[in-house]
Amino acid sequence: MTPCERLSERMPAMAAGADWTPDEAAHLASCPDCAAEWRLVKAAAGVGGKLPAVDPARISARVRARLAAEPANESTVIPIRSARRGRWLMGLAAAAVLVLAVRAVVRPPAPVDPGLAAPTGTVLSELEELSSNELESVLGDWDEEQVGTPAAGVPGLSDLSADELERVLRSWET
Amino acid sequence: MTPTDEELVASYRAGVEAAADELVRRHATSLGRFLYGSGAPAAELDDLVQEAFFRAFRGLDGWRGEASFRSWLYRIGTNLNRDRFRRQKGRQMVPIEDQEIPDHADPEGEAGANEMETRLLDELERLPRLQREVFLLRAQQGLEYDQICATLGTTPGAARVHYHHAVKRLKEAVG
Ligand SMILES: [Zn+2]
Repeated sequence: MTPCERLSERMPAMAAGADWTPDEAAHLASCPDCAAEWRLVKAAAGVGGKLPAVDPARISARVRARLAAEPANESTVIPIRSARRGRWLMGLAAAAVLVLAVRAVVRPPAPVDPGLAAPTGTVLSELEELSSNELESVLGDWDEEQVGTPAAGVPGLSDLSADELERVLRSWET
Repeated sequence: MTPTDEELVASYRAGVEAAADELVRRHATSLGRFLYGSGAPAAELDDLVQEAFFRAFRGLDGWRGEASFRSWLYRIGTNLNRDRFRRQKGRQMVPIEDQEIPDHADPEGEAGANEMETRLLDELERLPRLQREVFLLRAQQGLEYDQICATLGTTPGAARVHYHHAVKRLKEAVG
């Protein structure tokens, strides 16, 4: 680890009030790069600090009232472990909606479409080549295009709830 | 001795409702500041923070303690904030170059912030979402990279890369 990397690692703790060692202070004074990062970290630590405070007492009162009124419901829970899979599913579901949207534009909808599996399979295998970041940017780009060109009658990802996305996905997993 | 978050969660689940108050007292303000830095308007922070806690407590069965309570709570808050952007994008026909840019035309929120913070907030809006979130979790919230991963569902290596890209771009823009 270089001295700059070591300093970078320490910056959040320093912003929270810890003190630099003499060596670190000397490096900071002589390294414009670290000095610039330190200014950013200090500014970031202050972001939102002057906001009219969120009132914890009011929030807990409301949260407790809602918890008493609405009992726990497992289906609203997003377990930590499934988050990555969730994002992957979103990407696949986006591809599914894209396929459906393209087909809706290319020709009028038919009640039953046995040909759907072929193009979907192609999209699927291409998606598997992508990293999660790339998937996310594909999804993001595509989502933005939908906002820019909301063709009438064409389903948009943002129109679907998470449940609907899951259903789209399941419909072509089977 | 001060109980840990995890001990408070256990107490809450055992029926001690005051444990929930203490968890809110510990994390509500910093979660609000994180969401504000991530682009949530000041006027919506109260509702977002409230919703995040509500879902966190109601969904405790799905938590199972793999990540800290704080990471769990922030993950929910982050997802709520992302949903808010998506809904907003669906409602407003904004130009493509403005997509994913948070709504910070928010004089109330920025009142009193120093100039460097205001410029940083403006530049944060121009970063890709993950870079912005990783940078804030690290620089504003002081989280370690493994906690950032647990919050955002990324890897430590990716979190470091996002942080360094964010710092590079912010240095160029803010100085
Ligand atoms: Zn340095």
